Amino acid sequence: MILVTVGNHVQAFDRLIRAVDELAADLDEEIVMQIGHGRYRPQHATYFDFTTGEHLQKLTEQARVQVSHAGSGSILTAFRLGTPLVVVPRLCRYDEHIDDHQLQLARALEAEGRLVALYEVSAGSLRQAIDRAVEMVPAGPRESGGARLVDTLRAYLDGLSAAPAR
Amino acid sequence: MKIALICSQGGHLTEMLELLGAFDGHEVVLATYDGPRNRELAALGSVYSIPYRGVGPLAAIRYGLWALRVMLRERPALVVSTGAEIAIPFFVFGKLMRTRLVFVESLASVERMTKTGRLLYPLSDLFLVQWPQLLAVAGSRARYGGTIL
Repeated sequence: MILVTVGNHVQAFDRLIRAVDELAADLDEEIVMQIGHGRYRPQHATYFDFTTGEHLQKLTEQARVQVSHAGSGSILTAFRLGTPLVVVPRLCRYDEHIDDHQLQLARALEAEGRLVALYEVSAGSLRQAIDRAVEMVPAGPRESGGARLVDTLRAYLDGLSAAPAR
Repeated sequence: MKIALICSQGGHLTEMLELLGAFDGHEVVLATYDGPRNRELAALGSVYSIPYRGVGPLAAIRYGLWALRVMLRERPALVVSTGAEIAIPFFVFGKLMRTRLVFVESLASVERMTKTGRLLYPLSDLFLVQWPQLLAVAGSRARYGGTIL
């Protein structure tokens, strides 16, 4: 099963939904799409607009690969559950987001070899990206990277608590 | 210590939730925009939320008054924010109230800071970036402390 997610952002991401729908027409595999505030209605896939975090986690676990916008929540979930990931950053110039921060994040993680990023999307390029993603990532859950950041903050807090009051 | 956690919805909230372990043992209050995940936040402490009405001048005044009310009622020792612009009035009033101010730049800020980050860097007592390459543009007091990924 291929899971597609575009997050809760108020702007639509029909560019991705349309491209996956086009791919879905020629694929035997089940495709499930979370379309958010999208206007385009997929013809060849199951879809819904929003769901609970739990349901999305379950779907991510079941998915052979996840194709999503480059939102931190979607990326975190896929990384945690070890689901191979293709991201298509929402772009400001297509009115998909307020700026291009998703582009920065996608490029950085792609450079680290942790996901496959697609910038202009078509049924063909999606198919290739999915094949690459599945080969790239070993199955199984990963440790959260947040531990060091949490420790940094905790150390700062401990320092404050220990300091004499002003 | 009472800590006020300030964040917008979406990725900013996702990142804040990843940092909660840092605040174990401290009292936490949250301030964010209205959103579907806010109900689950109530388990962490008091939640203050305000409808999102854009970033125009009238909205800014509303957010400012709301932030002032929250700060005066709660008087946190520390304010921590993962952005975005919702943090601005909390940092301004926090500075006046001698509150410690911590800003955590966004996970997506790899090469460029957020506008909010650039604005609040001068007010921050601790300014954390999540990518080491951002240190080159963030200012000498910025620290790389790890990423949530």
